Amino acid sequence: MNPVALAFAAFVTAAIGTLGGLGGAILLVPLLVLSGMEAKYAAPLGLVSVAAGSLAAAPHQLTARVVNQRLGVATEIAASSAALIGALVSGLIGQSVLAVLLGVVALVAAFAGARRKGVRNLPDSSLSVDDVGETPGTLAGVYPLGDGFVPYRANRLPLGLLGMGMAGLISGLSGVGGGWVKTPTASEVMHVPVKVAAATSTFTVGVTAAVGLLVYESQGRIVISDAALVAAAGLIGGTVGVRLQHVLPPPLVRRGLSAILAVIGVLLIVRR
Amino acid sequence: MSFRALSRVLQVALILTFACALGGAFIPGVVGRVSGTACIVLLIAAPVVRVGWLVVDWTRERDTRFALLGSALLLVLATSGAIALVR
Repeated sequence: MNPVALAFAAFVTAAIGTLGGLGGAILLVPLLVLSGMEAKYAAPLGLVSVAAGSLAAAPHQLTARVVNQRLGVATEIAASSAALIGALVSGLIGQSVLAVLLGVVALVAAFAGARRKGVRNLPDSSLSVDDVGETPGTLAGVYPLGDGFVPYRANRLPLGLLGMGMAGLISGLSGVGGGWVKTPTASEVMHVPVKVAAATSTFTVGVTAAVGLLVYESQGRIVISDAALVAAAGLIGGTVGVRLQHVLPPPLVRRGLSAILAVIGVLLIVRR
Repeated sequence: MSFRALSRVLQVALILTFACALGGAFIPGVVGRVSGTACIVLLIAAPVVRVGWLVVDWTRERDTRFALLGSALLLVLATSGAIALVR
């Protein structure tokens, strides 16, 4: 892929990945492989895109207080531990089986997001801007939505941790990052508002990507000039994506996310 | 407020990483390679620093449960990094 096309692909996938909390790798890696790049060089560029999108989004999401870092840290332990196990056993599972598994998970997540109507968590008129943020010692918080303030609490933690563990396992096995499983898990299983789920996933995929990049760097699989180009474009794309995330209404974000996941699921199953 | 300070730190990291990325992408030779490598190092370090910052913050707030969870996550990250380097 020529440098201009690579930069454009990294920009678009980082913007979409940050907007939906997917991480850009699930979009960028298949694109690079389709363009003829070897998967072993495409995967590190995917993680560079994820890490760049995560870093670009962080200052804005922290200031807007829409990310729940306690939820992110609590669930990332399961995801990172499973990612490590997945990376260690990745050679034991066939790529074809893995592709079908990824495709089915993506389609289920797409269906779960698309079938729900309206907004689950409604604004509470007794809350003010001073209440926005995380509630210390809990997995609850308040986030701003339009002119109102919406309280939420993460439910079904054991099931959520199982989902996050699966996201980590898939990430470790495939090298495509797990944000596209983490966001639907937080939103549809744990009942966290989709904007908070997406912002929290954007934080945690950066953590997972850091570990992956360390592995790839030690294996000499990162082409520095390409990685730097992807990082620059990914930082711009991530900045655009997080601003769109703040402006767009939650049902639109959720439906868009479902549509993207459905396309990814079909592509993964058809192209195995 | 601590989240504002963390936001500023990450904003500085973002600008530095972007500058290094541009250098790595467009400057030829050793300087470009060093700049690109610095960009990757910053991308790896930023989330780890963020988790470390949160652990300190939660410890100060006496939110012991989440401070311990954050420490456990740092331990998992350190273990992952060590295993990756050894293999």
